[in-house]
Amino acid sequence: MLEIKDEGGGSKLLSLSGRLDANTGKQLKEKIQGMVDKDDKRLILNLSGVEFIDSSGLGSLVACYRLASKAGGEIRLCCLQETVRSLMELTRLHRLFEIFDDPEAAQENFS
Amino acid sequence: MTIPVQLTIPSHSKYLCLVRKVLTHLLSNHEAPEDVARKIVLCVDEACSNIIKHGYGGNCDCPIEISFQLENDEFIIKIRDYGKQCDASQFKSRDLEDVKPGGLGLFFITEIMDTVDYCTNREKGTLLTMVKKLGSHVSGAAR
Repeated sequence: MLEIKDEGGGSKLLSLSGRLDANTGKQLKEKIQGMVDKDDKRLILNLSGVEFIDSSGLGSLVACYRLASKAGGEIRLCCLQETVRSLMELTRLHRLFEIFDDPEAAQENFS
Repeated sequence: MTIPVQLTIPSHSKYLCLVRKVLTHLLSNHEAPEDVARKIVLCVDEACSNIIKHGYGGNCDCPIEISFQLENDEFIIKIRDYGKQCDASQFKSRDLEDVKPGGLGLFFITEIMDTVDYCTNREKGTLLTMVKKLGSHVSGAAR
């Protein structure tokens, strides 16, 4: 479900795929916690492969945002599928996260 | 589809994929727009998860009866459980300004579905009825 790519410039790109729900959300939180613990504080989540997200999945994104923020880090999102984007807007979470069309734009925003 | 499609699953999250598959197939047959279909599937998923967690308190061996029916352009979903009854008037969607993990399931259901009714007028459990208008997208051939 998770693929991690070092984007250079101090940021890490994580590509997610499949369903983001209670089970996979837990995996994501553990992964983010591990990265924050290793002082990776600039994180980009590529959601292009996430076809379905539920309330638990959205909750896990919020939890990850908090984990990173607490450690002085930041999380950017990119490449949201339409359904995921509309649910983010419905719940107003698009105000919390900075969302970009592609990983490069998110990376540039960190620079 | 005047005769409802019905299925009963045990109250365990591992069976929710069956519900999603049946529902996705039905909505595809009715040519519901993909985005609308995904949101309906999400609401049914959230409702069943709430029953498993709150209605049955995590007990995995209780029945959840689900039916899907199309009447004119209305897609009607009924979900019956026999668990703990809750006072629907006490249900409240989360304040979206209060950003925190969790608590969005009920919000999705009330925002996405056109009609939501929790009926506890019975000895045990709840009958949840959710209606979504599919509008002009509905396929007559699939009825």
